[in-house]
Amino acid sequence: MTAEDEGKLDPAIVARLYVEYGDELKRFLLGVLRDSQLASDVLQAAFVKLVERGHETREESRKAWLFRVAYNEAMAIRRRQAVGDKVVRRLAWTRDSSTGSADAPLVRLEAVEQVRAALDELPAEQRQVVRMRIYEDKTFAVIAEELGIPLGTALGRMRTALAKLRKKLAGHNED
Amino acid sequence: MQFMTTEERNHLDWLAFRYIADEFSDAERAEFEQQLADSQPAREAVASAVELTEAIAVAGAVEELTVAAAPSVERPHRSRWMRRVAWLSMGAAACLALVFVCQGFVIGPMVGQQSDESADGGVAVRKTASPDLAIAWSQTRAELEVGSEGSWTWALAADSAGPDDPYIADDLPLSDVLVDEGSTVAAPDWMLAAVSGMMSKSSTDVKE
Repeated sequence: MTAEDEGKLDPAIVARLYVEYGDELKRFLLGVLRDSQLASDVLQAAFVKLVERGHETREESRKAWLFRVAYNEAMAIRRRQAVGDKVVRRLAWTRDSSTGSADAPLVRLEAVEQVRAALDELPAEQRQVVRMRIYEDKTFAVIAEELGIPLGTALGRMRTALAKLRKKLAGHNED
Repeated sequence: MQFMTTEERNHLDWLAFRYIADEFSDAERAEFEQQLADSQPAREAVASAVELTEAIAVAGAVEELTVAAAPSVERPHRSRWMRRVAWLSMGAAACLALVFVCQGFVIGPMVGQQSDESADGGVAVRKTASPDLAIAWSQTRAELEVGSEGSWTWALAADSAGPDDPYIADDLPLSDVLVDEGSTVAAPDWMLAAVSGMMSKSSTDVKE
C-alpha cells in the first residue's frame, strides 16, 4: 500500500518540498513570529500537516498552501501565547544569545558577500541609515532626529538602499 | 502567481521590511497581516525581507571581524592605534628607565669600570651597559615611531590588543577603547554567533 493509498502525501514529495521551500518558509515565519524556536516549531507543524493533508492539494499550489497553513498556525500560536503585540517587539533577525546561537543563519555565504559588496557601493548617507537601523537597531524616528533630517528622508534613504541591495541579492539568486 | 509591476513589487517589499522591523502602527500591522493571510506574494516578500536583513546584518558582522583581524594603515582607526603605540612607547621607556635605575643602585659605582670584586672571585664581572642600552633604546624608539606608521609594531599592537590589554584597559576611557572614532559600534554577540554558525555550516557543506 502506497502513501497516497493511505491518504497521505508521498514522503519523497514532502522531502523535496522541504528542501525547496523549507528555508524560505522558515524566514517567513521568523518575520511573523520574531522567534526562532517558535518559527522552527511552526515549520515542523506545517510539514506534518503537509504529510497528512498534502494529497488534497494541487501540486502547483502546494507552496502557497504550505505558507498559508504555516501562517495560520503562527497566528494561532501568537494569539495563544499573546506574543503578538506584547512580548516580542524585536526585529526578526535579532537572536536570543542564550538560545539562538545554535541556529545557523538563514542566508548563504555567497549572499552575504554580494550584500557586503553592494553595501560598499551605497552612497554614504544611505549606508549610514542602513547601519543605524540594522546594526544599531534604532528606529527611523530616532535616526531622523539624530541625523537632523525629516522622517520621510530617513525612510526614503532606507527604502532606496534596500531596493539596491535586494536587486543585488536577487541577481545573485538568479545566477 | 499574480502579476505585479516593479513599482508594486517594490512597495510590497518595503511594507514587508517595515513589518519585520516593527515600524508599523497597530492599524497598519493588522492591515498587512490580513494581506499575509490572503496573498502569497506578500508572504514571500516577508521571507525575502528577512533574508535580506539577515544578510546585511551578517555582512556587517563579517566586516567588523575583517577589520578587526586585518588592520591596515588606511583604516580610520589610526588615532586609536596611535594611542596604543604611544602607550607602548611609554611602557618601553619605563622599563628602560627601571633598568637604568637598578643599575645605578646595584652597580652604579662600577659603571664604566671593571668590577673590583671580580678580581677576588666575587660578583660576576660586569661592564657598563650604558652604550648598549642607549643604542637599544634608540633602536626601540625608532621602531616604535616607525611602527606608528605601519611597521611590525603596528601589527603587534593590533594582534596583542584585546579586552585585557593593559595599555588600553588601565588608562584610556572605556568609550575610547570600545568605540573607534568614525567606526561602527562593536558587533553584538548574536552577530558573531551568526557568523561563526555560518562559517561552520559552510565548512560542513564543503566537507560533504
